[in-house]
Amino acid sequence: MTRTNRTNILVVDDDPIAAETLCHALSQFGYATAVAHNGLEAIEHVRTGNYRIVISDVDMPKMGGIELCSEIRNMSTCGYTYLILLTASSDTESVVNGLAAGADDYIAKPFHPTELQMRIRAGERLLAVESRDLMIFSLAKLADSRDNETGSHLERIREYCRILCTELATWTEFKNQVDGLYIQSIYETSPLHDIGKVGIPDRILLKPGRLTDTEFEIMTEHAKIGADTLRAVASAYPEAGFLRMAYEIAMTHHERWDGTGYPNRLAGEEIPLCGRIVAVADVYDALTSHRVYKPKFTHEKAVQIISEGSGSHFDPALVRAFLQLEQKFLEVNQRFEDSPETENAEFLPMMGPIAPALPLVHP
Amino acid sequence: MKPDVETDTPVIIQDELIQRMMGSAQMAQRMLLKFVDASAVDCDELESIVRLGHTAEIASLAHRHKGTAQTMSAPRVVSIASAIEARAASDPTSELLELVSQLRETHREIREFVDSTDLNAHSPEPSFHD
Repeated sequence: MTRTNRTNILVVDDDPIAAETLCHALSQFGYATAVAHNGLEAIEHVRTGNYRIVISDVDMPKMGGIELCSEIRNMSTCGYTYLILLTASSDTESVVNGLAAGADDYIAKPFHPTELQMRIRAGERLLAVESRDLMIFSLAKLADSRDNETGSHLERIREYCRILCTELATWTEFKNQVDGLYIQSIYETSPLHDIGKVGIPDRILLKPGRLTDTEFEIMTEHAKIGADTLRAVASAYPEAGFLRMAYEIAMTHHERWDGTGYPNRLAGEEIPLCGRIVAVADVYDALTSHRVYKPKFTHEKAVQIISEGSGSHFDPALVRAFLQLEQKFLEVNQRFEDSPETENAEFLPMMGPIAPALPLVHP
Repeated sequence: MKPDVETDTPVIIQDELIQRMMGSAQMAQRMLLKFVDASAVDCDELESIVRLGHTAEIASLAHRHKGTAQTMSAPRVVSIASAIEARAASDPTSELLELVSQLRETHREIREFVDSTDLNAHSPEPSFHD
């Protein structure tokens, strides 16, 4: 019955007998536990980052379980904390208030061991999904670090994508395609758009000056390299549906609405929507970021350039959405602004011949 | 002035308790002793705040005691503590003190139960998933 689990669980209860009984059951299921006697103590434990699952009583002195849920949800922690409330089965009001305050689940008191175990497993599954997302982002960061060691390019890109999609989800022409799952998928997979750069030689990727035509041709291969890799993984793991979107983004985010992009010179709606969305996000970020050969453009200038690219570089509908949302783009740009000392970390090649309309945006 | 509890209700539901203790009769025995020891303090405190008329504190302490009793599968204690919690603001002091007295008596029975019962003889087979 006993197995070793890696999840540490924090039990929050002012009743020492209830807390010890719960900890005993959890230890038999293989979990390591700690006890806090009220919400304030629990906050200190959660701040250590050692506890991803918290099981809390509702009525406690100093800080109760519902306030604890709110506090944890307002904290900046490195990962998600799964919150389970212990409530009397008849206490519907506490359950509703707890869920509204950010609790994920509840267990009726007194707990039944098997139910307890199943509820925790549900929490572990959710945390595992988050771990998957962290792994995706870590891989993307690793690839991005070759030419952008400490910047926040990927953080901004996924935020821009989410902002655009949240707006598109309300538009008649997009609402059948853009739903909550789509938004979550693009948020998770858009950071992989340039993962193919791992296949580009350093002498080209890190070249500070203008690329030759041949070098530029090699540079543009990154879209196909990344897409081929992601397609191979998607084929091996067809149940991982989000990889399909990752593949489409990697392959098509340098295509242009007028068919002059690369690698396949797709035009209009031949380009998957996710690729068109990332194109806007990626170009806005490139324009508003520092390069070794240019200062960063102002937000206003970037807005003007993207506006002028409507129907040529970009899907006109997406440019309309962007223009409605440009203040939100600016807010994200400021929130994830690269520090001055990291701005020179990039050694990016100059633009090649394929997209002359935006000479300062490189592949 | 009696809480709603059947006279033949056991003082402790052994199988349920031992199952909650993951099949460990030893753990059940140890936690019951803790429960009885802690209850003496709780009863003294309850009596004190009943006499002082601190209704919110009475309800709060009775609520916590009820929760502990649920964990320990002690239905008669649950019933009395629940009655104290519900009536803290409405009943006269004398009736609340009568309930506290019943609570003490029930805990005395639990102490006798712990002293006289070999829980190992009643251990149910634990049935948990791995």
